Amino acid sequence: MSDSVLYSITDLTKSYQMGEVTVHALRGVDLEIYDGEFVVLLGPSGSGKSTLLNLVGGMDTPTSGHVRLRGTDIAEFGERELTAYRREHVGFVFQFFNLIPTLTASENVALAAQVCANPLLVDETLAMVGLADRADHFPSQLSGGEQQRVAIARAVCKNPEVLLGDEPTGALDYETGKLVLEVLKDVHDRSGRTVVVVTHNAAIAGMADRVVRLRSGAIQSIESNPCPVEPKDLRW
Amino acid sequence: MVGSMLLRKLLRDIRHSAGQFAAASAVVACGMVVFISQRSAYHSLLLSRDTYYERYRFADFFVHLEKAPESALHDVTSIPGVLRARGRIVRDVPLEVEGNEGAVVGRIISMPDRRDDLINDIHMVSGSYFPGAAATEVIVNDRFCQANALRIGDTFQATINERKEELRIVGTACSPEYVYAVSSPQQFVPNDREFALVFARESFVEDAFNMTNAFNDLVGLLRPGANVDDVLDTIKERLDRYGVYHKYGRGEQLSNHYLSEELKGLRNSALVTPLVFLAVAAVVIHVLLRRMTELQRTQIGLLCALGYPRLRIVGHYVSYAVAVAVAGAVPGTLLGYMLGAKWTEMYNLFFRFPLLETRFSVTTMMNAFLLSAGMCVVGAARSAARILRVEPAVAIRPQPPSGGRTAHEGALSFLWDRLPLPWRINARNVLRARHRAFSTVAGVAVAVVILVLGTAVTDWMDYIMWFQFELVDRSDMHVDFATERSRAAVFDVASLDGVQRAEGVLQFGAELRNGWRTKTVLVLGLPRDSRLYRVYDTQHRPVRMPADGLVVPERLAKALGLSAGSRVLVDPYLKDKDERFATVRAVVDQYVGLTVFAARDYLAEFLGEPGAVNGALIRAEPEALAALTRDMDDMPGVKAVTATGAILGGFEETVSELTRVSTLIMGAFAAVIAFAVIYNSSSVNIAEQERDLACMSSLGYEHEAIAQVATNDIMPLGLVGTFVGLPLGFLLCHGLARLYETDLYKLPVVMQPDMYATVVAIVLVFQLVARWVCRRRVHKIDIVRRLKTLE
Ligand SMILES: Nc1ncnc2c1ncn2[C@@H]1O[C@H](COP(=O)(O)OP(=O)(O)OP(=O)(O)O)[C@@H](O)[C@H]1O
Ligand SMILES: [Mg+2]
Repeated sequence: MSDSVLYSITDLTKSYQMGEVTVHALRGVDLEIYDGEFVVLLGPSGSGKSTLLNLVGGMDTPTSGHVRLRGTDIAEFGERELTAYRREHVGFVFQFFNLIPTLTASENVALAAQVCANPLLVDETLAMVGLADRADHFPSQLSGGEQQRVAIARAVCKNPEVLLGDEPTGALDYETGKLVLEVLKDVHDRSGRTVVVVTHNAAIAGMADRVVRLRSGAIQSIESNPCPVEPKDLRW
Repeated sequence: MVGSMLLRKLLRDIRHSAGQFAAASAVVACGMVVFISQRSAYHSLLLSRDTYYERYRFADFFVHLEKAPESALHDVTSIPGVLRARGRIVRDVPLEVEGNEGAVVGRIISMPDRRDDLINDIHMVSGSYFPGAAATEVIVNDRFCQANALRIGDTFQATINERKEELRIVGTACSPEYVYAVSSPQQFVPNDREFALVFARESFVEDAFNMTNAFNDLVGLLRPGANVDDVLDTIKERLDRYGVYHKYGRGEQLSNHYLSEELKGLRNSALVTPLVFLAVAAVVIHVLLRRMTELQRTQIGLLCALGYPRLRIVGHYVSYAVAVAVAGAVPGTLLGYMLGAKWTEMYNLFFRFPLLETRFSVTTMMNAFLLSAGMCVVGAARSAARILRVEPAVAIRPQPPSGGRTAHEGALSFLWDRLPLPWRINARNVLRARHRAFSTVAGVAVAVVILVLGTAVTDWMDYIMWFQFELVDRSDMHVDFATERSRAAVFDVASLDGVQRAEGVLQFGAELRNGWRTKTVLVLGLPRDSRLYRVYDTQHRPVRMPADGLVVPERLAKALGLSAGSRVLVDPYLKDKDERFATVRAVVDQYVGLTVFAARDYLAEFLGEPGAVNGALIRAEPEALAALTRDMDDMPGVKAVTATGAILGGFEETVSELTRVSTLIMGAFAAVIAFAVIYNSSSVNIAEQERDLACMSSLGYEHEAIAQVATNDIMPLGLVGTFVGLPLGFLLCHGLARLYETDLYKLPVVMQPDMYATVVAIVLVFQLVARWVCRRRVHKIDIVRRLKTLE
């Protein structure tokens, strides 16, 4: 783990206008994310975890504040720059996998590879998540865990600066969830990329380098974890 | 890995929606078939006409006169606007052809012995141009020869100046003047069996008609920029002492007029009809893509998350529409060209061109592709706009789009409570996806309109024939005398064997003038209480001939701005007869030709020849008709005999065959549209309801019951579409009838109840078939799998 700052987030707010009511999803978040670390964002439902992750991933624009990636403020990006940013710098893993049902596993990965400049080899990334032999299967022919591993391969093959996972185990059972976490950890260890995982499952925090706790749209605490445990040793 | 993944996704999306894709493409294909076939027929007719006219120097102006000396030609060519002129002798005479019992009329047209750069030249089809020395060598139009099985070397008899002449065929030909070979405006379809064009040597014709060094027909070419009306006026002035009957420009020339009208109609229809089809295709695509982009909302979000630019995602979905266009346009274009060739061939039944070629035009094809792709993209526009608005952070969330409004239970709660449970699902569907219900209604309505138009065309023809030959003209034959005769001539005719009734008539061509407006018409003087020819007002009440004044058809009244009581200037196309005013007494209905009626005795007074007749209408015993025709042809003073039935006979064969074919094609198109629209929106319904349906299945409902629920709304929506389509179709018929109204004919707007009943029945069948197909689809849904899958 190096000490160079990858993301520097300052005074980040996001509010949604719902008719008369204003929902404050984030109320001034300050956070630094370092190069190569494994961060877990923890918090109860509605605390703003997904909102924060989406802002970091360039999926959304903040109401105010800054998200600087090595000094460049992506909060000021327009639609076109955000698209380019997502394309070249970010790999997403979602709770419900979001694979294209009409594309096979390898095609789903290729879909991501084709859009960015320096992708990894599709076959290799699929092998990395242990699905080399399922390359030609459609999502409907894969289990939930396998689908999520394809989704991880899809995120990884873009060779992104950062991997963002929003409840990547949320739709999976205990064993499968752990398997997916192992894959994530493995990718992290091998590529040395920064990984940010959102979860409301406190047990998962055990594998993180740092744990950020959110509550009502604000950071409640940040803890460093001197000796993260292997995912297979996690219990919940 | 090769190939774009988006392309693969597109191809798989197409495969997964194959039925709907095919349905939409089929509609596009129909549009393209119409577009290409009509367009190519139009171009090929236009090209054939222009080259024909050009190569055979079709005249710019035409003048019929009594008899003018050859020297008078100089008076014409010296007019500044006139380039060249040709004097001819043209006369209709009775013919006797072996094997033809009918009243055959031959139009003798004089041709010079040497033919160089002739105005209104003829195209030799076979044989040669007066090869021998015999005076009685003639060239006959090839269609007449075909219809009467005549060959080169065969002979037939013509009664010329009360003398029988035996004419020998040395060649067959066709003429740019008779592309549409009708003898008069009253004969509105060619009758190749009973009307012949006989091109004969000038020397022979001059002798036969006592017209040495004289002519009675003048055709000419104009210099560029010359005004045809001015030139004709000058000609009339200069030749008036030779009795100018009729003068007109190329635009009013009978054959050319029919041809131009047909071309105009074809051009309009080649644009409007395909647009209707493409609009339907656009609606189908709209419904289809709307559903698809709704369903693939999270996929769109994912593509955003992966960093695909918006426009590329939009392009991906628009490509679907373009693919529909291409998939429809390719077979549509091929089929269109095939049908276009057929179409042109069918035109050849009516029109006679020396050569008709179907032109393959790259521009037309490009236009076809652009047009169909353009309309399909329009259909995709709303979905594309939706994609542009998608917020990736929101779209990526798995919840389905908000379920929509709850059904209107407030005001309609009374009705709602009474609705059986499964029907409530349908009602909610219709209310929730109004655009889809609308598409079904609109599509069925369009299908109905097409069917109404298709049957209306057949009915127009039937109606005109019925009106003209059952109601108006009840005679069996018309006899034209060579000159004005006393009424005694009618008694001669009436006394012939087999004649049941004969009525003397007095008819002549005339120009009617009201201020600056003029029209050339046929004036027909009838006995005041004629039983063989009846005239009806616009409410179809019989009109008795007034003691004085004129009865004019509605179209003429409109064209000249006349109504009952107006005074109009009548300039008879008769030698030494001056123009005089006459009063319009009544306005009547008339579909074919432009005939003005009056009491015969009034007309005779009008011309200053009391008691004169120049023709007769005859009713005869059917079995005596053939013999009578022959007898009358031989009677002194008889110029021509026309059998009324002959007009009808030739008509029915060709026209009804043609309309049947086109009605059938229209029917097929309507079926495609109705089916495509119903199938498409039902497919979307079923796909959307799959979960509900799966649920019902798990509750123990039978497959058939589920299929019923899924397809319940087809018939009610189809019914609404039908009843929207019927009045629309009627209005469109009205509009078209007005659009196609010309000096030569007008189209009736017929509202036969049985026609509507037929249309409703046909559409009902379409709906039943579509429903059956949709039901089978429901049976095929793997309900267990559907229940298991998330989403
Ligand atoms: N598009 C939106 N419109 C309105 N409110 C929103 C929107 N997205 C999020 N919110 C609100 O913002 C707050 C934070 O939402 P967020 O999705 O970040 O929560 P979360 O911590 O990820 O919760 P969960 O664990 O349930 O996923 C919530 O109160 C939510 O209702
Ligand atoms: Mg969340």
